[in-house]
Amino acid sequence: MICPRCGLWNPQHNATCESCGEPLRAATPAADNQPIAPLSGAAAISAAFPAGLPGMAAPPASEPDIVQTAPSQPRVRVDEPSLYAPVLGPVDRESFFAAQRRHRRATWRLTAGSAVAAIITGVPLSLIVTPVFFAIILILTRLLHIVVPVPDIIWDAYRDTGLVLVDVVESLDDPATSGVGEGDISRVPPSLFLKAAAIWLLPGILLMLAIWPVLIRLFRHGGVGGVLLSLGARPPVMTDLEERQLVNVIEEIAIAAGLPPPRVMLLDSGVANAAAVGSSPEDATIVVSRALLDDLDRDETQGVLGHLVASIGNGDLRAAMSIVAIFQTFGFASALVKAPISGQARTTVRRMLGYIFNPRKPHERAEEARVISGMLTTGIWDTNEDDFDWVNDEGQAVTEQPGPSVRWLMYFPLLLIIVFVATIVLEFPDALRQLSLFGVVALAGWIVWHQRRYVVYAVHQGARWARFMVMLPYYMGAMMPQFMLMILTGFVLEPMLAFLWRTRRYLADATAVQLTRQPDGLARGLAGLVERGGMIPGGKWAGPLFVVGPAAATARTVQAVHERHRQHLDEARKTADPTATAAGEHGFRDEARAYIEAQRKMAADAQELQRTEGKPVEPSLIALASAHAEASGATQHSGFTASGDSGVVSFHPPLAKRMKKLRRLGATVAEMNITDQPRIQVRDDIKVNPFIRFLLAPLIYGLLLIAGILMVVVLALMGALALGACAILMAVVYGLFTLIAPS
Amino acid sequence: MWIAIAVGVVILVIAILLIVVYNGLVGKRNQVRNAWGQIDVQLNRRHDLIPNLVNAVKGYMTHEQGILERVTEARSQAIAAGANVQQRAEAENQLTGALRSVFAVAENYPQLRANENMLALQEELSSTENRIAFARQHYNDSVMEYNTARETIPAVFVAGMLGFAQEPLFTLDAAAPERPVPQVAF
Repeated sequence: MICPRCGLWNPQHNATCESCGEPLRAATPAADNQPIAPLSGAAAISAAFPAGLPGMAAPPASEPDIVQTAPSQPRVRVDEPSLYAPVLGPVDRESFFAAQRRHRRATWRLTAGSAVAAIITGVPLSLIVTPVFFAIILILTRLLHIVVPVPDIIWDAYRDTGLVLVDVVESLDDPATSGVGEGDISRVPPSLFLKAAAIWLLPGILLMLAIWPVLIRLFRHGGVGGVLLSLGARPPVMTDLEERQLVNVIEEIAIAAGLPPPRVMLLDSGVANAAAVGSSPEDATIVVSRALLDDLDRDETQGVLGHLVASIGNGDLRAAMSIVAIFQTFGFASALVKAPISGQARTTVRRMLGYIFNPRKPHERAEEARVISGMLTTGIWDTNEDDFDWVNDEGQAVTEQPGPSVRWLMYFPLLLIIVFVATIVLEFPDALRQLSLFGVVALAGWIVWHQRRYVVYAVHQGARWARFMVMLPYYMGAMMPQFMLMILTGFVLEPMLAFLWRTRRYLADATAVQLTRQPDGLARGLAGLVERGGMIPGGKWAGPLFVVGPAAATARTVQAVHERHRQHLDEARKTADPTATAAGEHGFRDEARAYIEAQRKMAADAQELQRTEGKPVEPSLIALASAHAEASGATQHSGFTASGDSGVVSFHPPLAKRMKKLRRLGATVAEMNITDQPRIQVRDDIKVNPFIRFLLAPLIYGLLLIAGILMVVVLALMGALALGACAILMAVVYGLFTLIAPS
Repeated sequence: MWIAIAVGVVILVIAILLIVVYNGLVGKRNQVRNAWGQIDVQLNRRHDLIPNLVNAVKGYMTHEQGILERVTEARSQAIAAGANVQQRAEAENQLTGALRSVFAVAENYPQLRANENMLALQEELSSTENRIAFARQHYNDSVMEYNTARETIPAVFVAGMLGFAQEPLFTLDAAAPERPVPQVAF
């Protein structure tokens, strides 16, 4: 290719001229000889709408000035599309007031959807809460009975409630409905069905609905995102011009929003991002990383901070607190359910009670609130019932000892009984029988003596065994709801809340445009943060409160890593087979060698990064580089764990969608090639034959469909099991109660 | 009997609706008044900053005492105008112009441009200009919200009766004499 500037011939693959550095472009017949004149506004419109704008008469031909202005423009070469090149506005322009109304309506719809999702997620836990609730009510009524005699009708109602399963089972065999689906569930009368459902579901759901506002109030103290302030946030230095400017910008927008100016805190982080934390518009703090000030200009900063102030004004802090409290409610209910079988859950409940009833100093209280809310939220995913863990690895210290294990003592009562029965059956003389029994006891004594160092442990172990046996039915009953809770939280509740939160982000974007009247500033700021900012290390738990998601940095890193891997691969391919011109044209062995070489270089890169960690290096880059070495794994996790929010649906809307909405509000940023959605295609250079793809598609989608159906079936089975466990527990509770306190 | 209950329910619903509408309008009207007050707060903030500015540049700009005098004069005129909207607006406009020329002239003094105090002052003053603009914008947004609420169903039927008058928007000819001065206490 011939350089347009110095006329030197360059090899085809060169991006820039070897002599003068002028960028070279692939030759196209139109562009090579004739520089393209930029379209003037009128010409651009007539190019986009050859028949004239819709609803506008075609320009009269007698006006030559439109045509003549174009050649008089200086002929400028159109280069690579610039990142922020102005474009024609979209056809579907929308005022920011209309956009806000639209997003607000969407917010209401999604709030309703989230409420339904929350109730569905609460169903499995309710099933296990109900028997406990029932037991408490029974005991309380019995105590009341001592003071004031309770009428029989109430006891009958309790009996009906406790034995509703029996009624359901009996109605299956009811002769009155014989012929209608023998033994089928359809024989259960609907009224009884409704009654059973109400008895099994309502108490738990009502209990959780009662806990939820209490938890919002309880943790309102620190608001949401208090964790960010513990990362070393400091007040701005007013003598530093940039920080003073930041405070000014925030106060200016607060005036535009009619809000009290929020507090400003700075994080000395090398990653540019910002977040709004707190509990209400009156008690809000905007946390800004110092890097944001260096990375964005004043307009961009104003746009980004406008988003945060708008978010505060729209009540996002309260919404965030409600969302967090939903997870906390499930965590607390789950901890209550698990308390009899899990020490971890007991600790959570104990600290929770301590937090409620123990007066503390404010800062201690805030710290404790942070710890507890973390325990509650992570408790949902915790199936580690540590009371039962020892069953799997019991008494290693004892079994490793030489000689008989203390564990044998467990079987001695049984041995004693067997020996006793045997002596009677075999008609042993009394003396011999006593001797045999004494022998058994002596054997036990010998073991105890031999393992006397572990006797305390053995007693402890015995107590645990006893507890295990007593709690086993409860364990079985509580496990199913626990698993269902995890699945429903991960696949129903959290995605729903994520979509709600995303809509609130769009709403805040539209409000920010109203406040700053500068859609461009916000658009450029967001793009800049996605491009250069990212997740502030340590801020993962407050991720949704940031302007751009933690996904941004990860996606950027993934892309960078992928890019570097591709470079290495191309180099390695060239060395492996110098004659190959394009990818895929050389032998399998060379390709494999190239891959190995590229991976080796990636590992070297990772080590190099680790060595030079003095300068700001993406902390995840090293991990990702080594992950990329196992290239097959990367594709499987690209849409999932790489999102950083680590949920199925990220809480942050994709940048492309935000940009699209901002363009509708008048932003003139062009389509950008920045993305926050990681796309790894490890072997994207291999083309799949469209015909084969066409054949494979039904197979793949069929498999996906089957997987989905299977998951629903598994959920239904788990639900049925949980239902059964609940019904049996209810009957057991009632039975135990009648045994202890017959009335 | 049933008719009486139905009538009672209808009256109750109307009463509740009325209360909601009335409270909503009061809230929005107070927001408008507060927004109006906010403009004054920001104008005063500018007045407070001007002596600092004059002191900072006085030593350097010995040849442009005229400009500084214009600034000081416009400021004292604006303060003297008080609640007289027309005079006040004229004085504030003069002040804006005078400040601009101060910073334009200051560009010719390299020492002044590098002076940290001057930079900070410049930032404060441009921030104040932004605040004034934003305060006006917020006032207009609030007025629009209030007027829209007032003129749409159901408030439109009762707004007049309850004494909710239309609020004027802040326009460039705000100094026009026919503009009613809002009765605001701040």
